[in-house]
Amino acid sequence: MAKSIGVGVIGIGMGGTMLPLNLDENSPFEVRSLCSGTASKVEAVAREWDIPHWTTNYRETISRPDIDVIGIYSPDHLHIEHVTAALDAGKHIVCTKPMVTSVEDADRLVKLVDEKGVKFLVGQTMRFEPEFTAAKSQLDRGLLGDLILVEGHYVHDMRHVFPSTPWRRDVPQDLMYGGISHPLDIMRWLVGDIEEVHAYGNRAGLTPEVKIKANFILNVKFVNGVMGRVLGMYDVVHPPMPMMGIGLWGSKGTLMADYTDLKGGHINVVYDDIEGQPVGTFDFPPETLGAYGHGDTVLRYMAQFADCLEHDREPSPNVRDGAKSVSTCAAAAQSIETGEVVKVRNEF
Amino acid sequence: MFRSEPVLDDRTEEARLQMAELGVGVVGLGMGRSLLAVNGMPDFPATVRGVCDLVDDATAAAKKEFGVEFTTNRIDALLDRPDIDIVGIYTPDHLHKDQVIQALEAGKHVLVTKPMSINSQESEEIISAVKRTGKRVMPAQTQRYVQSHMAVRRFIDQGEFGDIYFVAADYYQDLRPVYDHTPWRYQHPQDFIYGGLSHNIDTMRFLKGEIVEVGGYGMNSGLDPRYPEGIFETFVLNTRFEDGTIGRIAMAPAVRPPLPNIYVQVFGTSGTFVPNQIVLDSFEGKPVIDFDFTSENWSFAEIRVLRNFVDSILADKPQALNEIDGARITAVGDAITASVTSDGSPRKVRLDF
Repeated sequence: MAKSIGVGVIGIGMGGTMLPLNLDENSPFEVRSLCSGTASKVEAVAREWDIPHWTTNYRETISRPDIDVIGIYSPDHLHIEHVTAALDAGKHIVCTKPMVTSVEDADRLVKLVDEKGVKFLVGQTMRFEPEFTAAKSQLDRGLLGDLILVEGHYVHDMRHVFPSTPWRRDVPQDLMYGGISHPLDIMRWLVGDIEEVHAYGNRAGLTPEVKIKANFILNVKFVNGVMGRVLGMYDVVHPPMPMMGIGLWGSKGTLMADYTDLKGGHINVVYDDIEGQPVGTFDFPPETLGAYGHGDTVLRYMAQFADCLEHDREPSPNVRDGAKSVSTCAAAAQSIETGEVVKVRNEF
Repeated sequence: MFRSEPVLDDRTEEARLQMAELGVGVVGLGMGRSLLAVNGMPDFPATVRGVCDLVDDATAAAKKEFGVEFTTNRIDALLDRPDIDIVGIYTPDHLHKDQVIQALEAGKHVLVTKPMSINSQESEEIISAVKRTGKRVMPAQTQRYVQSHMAVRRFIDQGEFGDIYFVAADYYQDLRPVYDHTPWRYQHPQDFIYGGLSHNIDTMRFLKGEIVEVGGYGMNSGLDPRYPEGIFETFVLNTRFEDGTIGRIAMAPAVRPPLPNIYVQVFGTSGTFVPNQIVLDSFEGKPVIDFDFTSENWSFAEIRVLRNFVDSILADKPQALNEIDGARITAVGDAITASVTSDGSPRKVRLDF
């Protein structure tokens, strides 16, 4: 396939996962510009991958006429600045999660994307992990019956991540958005919009310089009446459980799907109509490409994005999905402060 | 194997042998049948001497298989027996309060299966009956005596997990086969906020202490049409403890999930537990340590509960749980009821019993 769509990438840690697009003969995308805060690093990566343009000034990347899509992989709190600049330049956008970290910014982005008429994909990797897409397929085909209860978790001992991305510790990253958006997005994908949330949070103090809460539990009620809950623990001695997981309790079956960076995933499922109710297990092999092993996942979501651009389809998750995840996180944060159940804004 | 607490440790073997053995009467041979096995344990310091059940076949089997001397289908006949010191109440939940008080009034110590009571008014009545009679009540909260949970508690007590900041206890049980052999659960029906969640609640109390606030959502799964519509049996709840520790509870009587029946998580500043694995922060590389417990059914935990009660009575020491514990577990249930039947906002738990 001709490399007909130019891509500029802001942030080359997680953003480095876009580079294998250049080797993918089935992808129309070609990374043509890289931007990172550290000149020596960005130059080294650009030379290694034979990228014609590199810079430490993101406006240079955004303003290049040979670039149609901007991939934004900067620290969470910078997304709004980078996305709005790219939208002003009329570019299509792929923005890693969390899309932004406030409802006001989410609102701005929805309006801007509508106004510009561009495509916007939130890079929520969980939607593109094979074990979770297989779980959705089981649910959508009715194999689990009517959904009763759904849960999601993302737990990660961030002490192991801080050395490679110190901004998470120093800014610090608000993991109510940067962490919880993972399970919330996939639960929204599986079940639908969330109506209200109650949350508690605390900190364990394992990283003394991070003063904000980084351990969260959420109860959610979906608009369709299904109940759910979310576990997000980041100030934590990594527990002996998969990094990410979902649980689906249906009237015909119960399914647990999990994923751990670089270790692959599983589906464990019990179907009510199999006598003896054995636990069926599917093993999904590890994927190891790119940062955190998310490279294959990024290639999958970019394939979807290519399809959206070519056939004028709406990406999943799009800017409104991103906004609703952000507003759910914001409601949970508010619940922790007030101690009350908080309604989630879903009108964007 | 059935040593529960180190209550006996300060007594000599000789003193122990001189101890009078206690007599036990069991009311309700469904769940209560678990206790009969002690009659086959020569060094167990109590013997089941009487049983009461409405089903004659059940009492006859107790006599035949476990040598129980006295059988009846009238609780007052059992309570009249002078050779019975402890009465185990294993009847449907809504009968507990009256039967516990009746047994106390008859001068017996009472072991009562969970839940001790199904509202705080009942708890108050039991507490005053204990004061009035000077006899003991022990709620038989078996989860404290499940091997895995005893091990977690041991790690906590040893300080291996550091300061605990998150505790969870989920309860997954496909209730359809349970309804088949205990139809009272859907006929009466059983209120699972008390009859089911008391397992989760006491497990969390055992591992962390008193729950001060709880809230969340409930629904009726509709999985078994025998259980009446409009009454909740599926729950997701958030809990908070005095020191800021957070926790959560789920109960899902759905198709058996590929998870343990009771799923406990404990996260501390230097270690974490999920069934049945731990990670300790002090180990380089953070290896996952697996514990392979012998699989046991719930009878074993039930017998450990009885052992603690018997040992405590004989040694004149407090039992692991008393009527105040039972009242506090029920009070958490009351707070859950208030939350799930309104807007889901958290409710304070009454602790002043």
